[in-house]
Amino acid sequence: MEASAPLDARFQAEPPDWQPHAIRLGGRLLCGSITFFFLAFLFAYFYLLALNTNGHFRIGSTQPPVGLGTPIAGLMLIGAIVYRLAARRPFADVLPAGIVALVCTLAAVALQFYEYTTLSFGAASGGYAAVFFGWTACYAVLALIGAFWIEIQVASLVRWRAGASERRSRREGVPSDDDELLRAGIEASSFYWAYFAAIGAIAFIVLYLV
Amino acid sequence: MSAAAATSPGPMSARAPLWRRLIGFNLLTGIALGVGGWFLGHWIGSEIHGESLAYFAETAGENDIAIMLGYLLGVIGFLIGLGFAVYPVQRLLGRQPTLAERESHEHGLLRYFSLSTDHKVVAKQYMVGVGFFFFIGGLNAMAIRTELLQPNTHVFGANQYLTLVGMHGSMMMGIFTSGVLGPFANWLVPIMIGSRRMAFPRIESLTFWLLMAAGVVLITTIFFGGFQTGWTGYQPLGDQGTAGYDAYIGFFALVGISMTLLGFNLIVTIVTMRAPGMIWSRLPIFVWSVLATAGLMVLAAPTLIATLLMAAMDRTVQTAFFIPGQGGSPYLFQNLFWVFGHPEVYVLALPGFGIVLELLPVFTRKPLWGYRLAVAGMLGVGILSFFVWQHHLFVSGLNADLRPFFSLSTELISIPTGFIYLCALGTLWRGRIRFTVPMLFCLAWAFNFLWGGVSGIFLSDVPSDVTTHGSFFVMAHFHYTIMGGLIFAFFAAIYYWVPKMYGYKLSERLGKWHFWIMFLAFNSTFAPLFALGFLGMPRRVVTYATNLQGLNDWVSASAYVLGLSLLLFLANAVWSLVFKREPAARNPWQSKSIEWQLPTPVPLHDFEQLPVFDGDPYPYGEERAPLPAVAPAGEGA
Repeated sequence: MEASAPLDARFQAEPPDWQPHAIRLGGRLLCGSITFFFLAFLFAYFYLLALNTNGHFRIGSTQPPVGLGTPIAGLMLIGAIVYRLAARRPFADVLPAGIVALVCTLAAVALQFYEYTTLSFGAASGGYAAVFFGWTACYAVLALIGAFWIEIQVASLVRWRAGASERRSRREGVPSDDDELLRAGIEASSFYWAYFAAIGAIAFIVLYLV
Repeated sequence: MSAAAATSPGPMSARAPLWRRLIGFNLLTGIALGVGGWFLGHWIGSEIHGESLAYFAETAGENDIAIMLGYLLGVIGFLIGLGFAVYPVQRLLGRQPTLAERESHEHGLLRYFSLSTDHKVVAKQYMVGVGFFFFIGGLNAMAIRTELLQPNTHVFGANQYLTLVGMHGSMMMGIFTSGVLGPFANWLVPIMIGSRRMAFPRIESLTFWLLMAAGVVLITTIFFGGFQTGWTGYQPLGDQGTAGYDAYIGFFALVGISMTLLGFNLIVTIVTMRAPGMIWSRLPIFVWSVLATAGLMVLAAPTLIATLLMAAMDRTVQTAFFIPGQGGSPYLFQNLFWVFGHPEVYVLALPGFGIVLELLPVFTRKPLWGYRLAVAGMLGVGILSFFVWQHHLFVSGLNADLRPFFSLSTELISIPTGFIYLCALGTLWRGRIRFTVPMLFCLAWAFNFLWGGVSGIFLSDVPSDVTTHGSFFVMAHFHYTIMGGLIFAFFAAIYYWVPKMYGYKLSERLGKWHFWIMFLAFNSTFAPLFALGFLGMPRRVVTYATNLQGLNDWVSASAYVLGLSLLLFLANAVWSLVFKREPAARNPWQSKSIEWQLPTPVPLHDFEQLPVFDGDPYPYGEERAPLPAVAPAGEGA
């Protein structure tokens, strides 16, 4: 909870919808930022493809294995869809969905790094190889950072299930809006995650199928 | 946290002895962990670089992987030392900490040297931090002008000169992205919209410390041979550069992250945390300018980060984004850089517009003329700025069919800019002008920006741009736009708001001396650069034709005077805020804006009751116009 507002009784409390609204909007803004981040790689792909400098857009055989790319993109999509569909359901249903999303993400990242060890080309194998390594590596790192956000929701849900939120609010003598904040966090992170997985699907189409 | 817990002194309270307060999460710890992290990263990088890279490491005497990892772990260590890991770790465990403990336990000077969640403290941190790097960038400018006193090299070598040019440009363009938003938006936006804080206060603090880390990373370039690319970091010079270019990459990547987060936080705050009655049509024009700027930051800066990651991968893992011999292209870098770079120009300019439009009604005692037109202008500039980037590449062999589009889009952007300028002039028209120091700087903005704007139209035109591209004409243009626009507005903001922020008056007399010397020296420095450009003097070249020495010497002498005027400001600030400390009045400008209705200095939590806004934000000239009703918090900041 980002409750910076003073808790002294003489201070009027902030409207309770401010912080949840902020978290939801924050999730959407992050989508805008990562769009422009990955647009740079998409631009690089088509720019270098169009130039094909010295005929070196692809040097040698630079086809990554679709057999590995499909499960990577698939795991990301499955995790995101399950988590997003559960986001509006009761908290008890969100917890397993969050765990599924986490496991899928970690598996996808592990597969991505495994794929690097099996490729028939290296980072220096032309413009395509540069975009492939750059895009997928950045995607994997951002997936881990995003997984951190989902883990926070999962950990919060575990505590919620244990009743920690209720005890805490009783102890502190202030009304708890933790549930609303938790709901906002789940909604924002699931929206972001669905968007992020969609970018992964686009990456799959561009890098593996085109 | 209960009310009692929030107000009771914690383990790190001001009552603890100094030595105890120095142990923990603060700048000292941050520096220690930052240095440690750098050595750890460098060691790891030295160990893991493969045989294919050994050749480069041995022949060039450098290992880019080690240096990059050093920067990465150094910055992470620095942030951990400041306390930024505490919150994520707690959240990872499912805890939901509040901010009250940080705000309540640290008082006095020490709170400026650690993670702070008070928006006013962060704003002051920005003020000093940005000021420090502005000073360093200014020293670089003086060194550049010293070298240009003679047509041949005589003080620095060509490489050192180029590094000075690059550091000056990077420092000014990078650090000053937050030059207005850091100190002024962080301080003013929450108060102006009736909130007590930013939406994400820890992110607010993180943006500041990332920026400071970035500045230090840039300075370390001098240990690795500097960089010869200028602030744009163009390829293939970048890929071919020494390890000093790694510092450039690290610097701008950190600036990009800081910009993204700052913009993100500001947008969320403005959209979601407006007090009752603060509808969009009552939003102060400064807040509108911040909103437009923040939008650019959130969208443009990630492109920069991606571009720099590509450059870093070219130098470390041997990708070939920008290496034509292996299927890459240096022009890819130029395109991507300017997709960020041109919105970046408006990231610098828009807050200046906002400041001027915010101050003009106060000093003309008139409502802001064309409020909605000004808002439309700001949003229009922001949107159009994404569609003009290729005018920087007119001479790059760009497809000729694309030139008219980008020429037209660049010329179009002068229309919303003109809206803003028109609103400034309309507000001045028949106003009862008070020539205070802030107002003088606003008027100077109007003069300077006109020159900058009109010369920009020349550069949007293809034939004219092809003639002057890469010359001192371009340099004159953007100095008139950025320094003449932003920096003059920045000083207007300083003279206007610093008494409220710090609680002490700045000397009016020294301020006027500062203004007049700076204004005259600024124009004397940069106006001749238009002529030098037309006479064929290129940028980023240490030597020039001997017939240009007279003008260059004039420019250098003027630049020294300009530097002196800034020292005069520094003397004023130190004298007034540190030594004299004459308390500022509550509302010395008779402003009707909400921040001036609060006590000086503004209390820790700003308001006891959230304010309710029910009127025009600029009711000047209206006798019975209501002022914002505020109940300030009781305790002093």
